[in-house]
Amino acid sequence: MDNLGFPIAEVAKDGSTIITKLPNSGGIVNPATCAEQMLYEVGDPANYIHADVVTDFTDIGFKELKRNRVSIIGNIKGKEKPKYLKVNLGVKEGYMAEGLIFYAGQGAYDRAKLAADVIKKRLYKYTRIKKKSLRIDYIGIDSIHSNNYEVYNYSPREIGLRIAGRTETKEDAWRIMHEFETIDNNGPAGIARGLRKEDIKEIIGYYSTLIPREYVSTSFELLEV
Amino acid sequence: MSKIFLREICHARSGDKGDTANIGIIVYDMNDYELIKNKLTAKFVKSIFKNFVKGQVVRYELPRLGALNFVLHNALDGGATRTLSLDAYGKCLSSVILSVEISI
Repeated sequence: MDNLGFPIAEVAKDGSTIITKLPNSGGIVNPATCAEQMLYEVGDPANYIHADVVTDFTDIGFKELKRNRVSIIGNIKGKEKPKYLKVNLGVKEGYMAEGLIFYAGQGAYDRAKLAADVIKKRLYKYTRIKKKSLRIDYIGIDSIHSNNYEVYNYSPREIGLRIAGRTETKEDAWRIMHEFETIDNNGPAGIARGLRKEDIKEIIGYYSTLIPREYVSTSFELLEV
Repeated sequence: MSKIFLREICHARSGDKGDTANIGIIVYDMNDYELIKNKLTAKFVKSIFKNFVKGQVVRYELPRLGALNFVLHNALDGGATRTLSLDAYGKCLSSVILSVEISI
């Protein structure tokens, strides 16, 4: 995997297609990797919308011809191009910032929870940040799972505490990071912080809508460099 | 009846489009396709992610691939540019679902 090859599609005149990659490159092209890539970021496979065609992939399949050569099989249909095109609007929606610290050994989780409580209380007291715009993650426990499937009754040997927040002002975003500076000497002892350099990020919220395609005119310009 | 992790019979990939996430789940052996069709209902998948998937979960079938595609609406805290989640693009959702146990 340290020398991944790009996938190559060899498309014949009749539309039949073989997926492959350069010899001596890493990775693997087989029906399993093709299937995963095929489904990546797909919604309804019967109506995959591009600007020029709506594709029906429902019947797609992959057949391995030999190592790293896979043929696309099945009845893949195209439908009329959409009458509408998608437009994304980016809207400035304030700022976000995060901080990350670590605890180790027995009781690490309890110390992380105490530190989170201290930071949280101070942020509610000194900023305009509300509960719904603050997120607390215990990395190693619930940062991805959100405790959604089962409640883990275990304490890891080391744990990351991450607090991230959305704010209306840059000052409040800065305050989140500042709390992680001061918790070093003003919270539960034994903090590791690493080299991480946090920064304030401006939030650009995306809003999507559809407009009739005849409202969109396209042109191109060639520039000499 | 015994239990297995989904990971023993399937592989998966997940990603995002705005505030929508999708998880494609594919069987290794076509003989297991009926089993996952029965077990992995849209309702079941929604229950796994109920803490953060606010919208509907829709299931699509791709029989020749031996795959199910789940589309999770309002699933990513407003999408990658807004979310406070570490998994901003929902790419870990595939690993989370493969760790689910099902009875066989």
